[in-house]
Amino acid sequence: MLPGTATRPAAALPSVAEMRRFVAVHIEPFQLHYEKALRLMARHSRDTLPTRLPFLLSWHWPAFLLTVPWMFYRKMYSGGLILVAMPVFLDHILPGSLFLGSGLLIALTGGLCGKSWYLEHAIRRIAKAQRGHHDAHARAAYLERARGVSLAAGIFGVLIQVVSITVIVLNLLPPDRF
Amino acid sequence: MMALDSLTWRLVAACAAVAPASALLAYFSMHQAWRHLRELIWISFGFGFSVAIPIAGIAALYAPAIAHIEGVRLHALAVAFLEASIPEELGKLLVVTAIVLRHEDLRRPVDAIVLTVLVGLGFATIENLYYVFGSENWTETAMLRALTAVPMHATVGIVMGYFAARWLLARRAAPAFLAAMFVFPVLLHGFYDYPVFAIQQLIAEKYKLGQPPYFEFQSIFVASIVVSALAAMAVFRSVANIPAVTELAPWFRSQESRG
Repeated sequence: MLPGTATRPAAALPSVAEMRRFVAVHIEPFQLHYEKALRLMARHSRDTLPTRLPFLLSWHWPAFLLTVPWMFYRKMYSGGLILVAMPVFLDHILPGSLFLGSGLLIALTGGLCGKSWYLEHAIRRIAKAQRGHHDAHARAAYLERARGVSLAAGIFGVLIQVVSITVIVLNLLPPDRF
Repeated sequence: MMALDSLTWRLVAACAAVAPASALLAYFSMHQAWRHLRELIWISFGFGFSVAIPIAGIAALYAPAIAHIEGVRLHALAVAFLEASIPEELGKLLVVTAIVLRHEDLRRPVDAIVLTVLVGLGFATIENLYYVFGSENWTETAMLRALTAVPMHATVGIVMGYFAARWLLARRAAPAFLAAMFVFPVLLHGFYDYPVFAIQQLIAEKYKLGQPPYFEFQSIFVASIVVSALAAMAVFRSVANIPAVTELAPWFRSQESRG
């Protein structure tokens, strides 16, 4: 077994300070939005957070306009990858099931749930760091790598979105257009 | 022949396309040795799957120019390298170096080998979906690709992963390992694809089976598979001889010792 992966008694609850540190990188202008969402989601506690936050419906423009690139940029890879893979499978198994409205539906869901998804993601990473690392130094170093954004993943998401939109538009054009 | 005109057969075809890579994905994600990497294993597979979308979009821009190249050998070589192996391996390389290897859960350089294999398997899965659903004889395509294309992507992933592990540990020779992460997979992939595309073109041009060009391309195909298998075996031998590759990576070693 790897050092640091040994089982140990239940970890401490994620602290508000750790959460603030996690979401702070690269979003200084927007931090107030997340702070406000966090206050609404965890109003019963000032110092520690529950391991599962209650869901919050709050509008988030970046998640609405660029759902998949935004998720990749914020390192929410699993969710973003599901949104990429799902239409590919659906298109093969149920041809014709995808339409322009599906994209709008995904964007609307992202816009409404984006903030909640990100804060959930942050709390899960902090909880994982607490489960996997005994000491504060190792935990802080792990969170240092986990937090923030990934510009490369964001650009990758934009490329996927551009190609997908191009394919949809080309499919909408009449065949004699070519 | 089972036509893909009903939902049941479409589901069966999708399962046939996804099964070979998914079996390996399930093996890696459930194995005790990579338990700490479970999430990253799925992410790597997903990024391998997704990277095919922009790659296909970019390759489609210059594919018409390649279609005009004349001569079986030259055309097959151009398709194999310019349309398939170079863009595909470049896409995988970018995903591996910019996203997967920067993930916080990566703790040992040797894990890079598993993760690049998973990126390759993800890529093979989406490729399989399109090939199986686009084929007139999908059962044969699914079976052939399960036996050849999926292992090829996995083998190329092993080679790329080996150099990725060395790249993570290297200081001075880092650019050389980065270049090797690209060059060796491109060569292995390209020389696997070249005879396949050449034979396809021979069939399209109504060459009779058994004529000399077939034998030439079949020999290249067999040789490419043997070379890939030998390369994978060489990687396994080398990994055992470089202890640092299988230990905790420097960035994790320093953190653990501080605690």
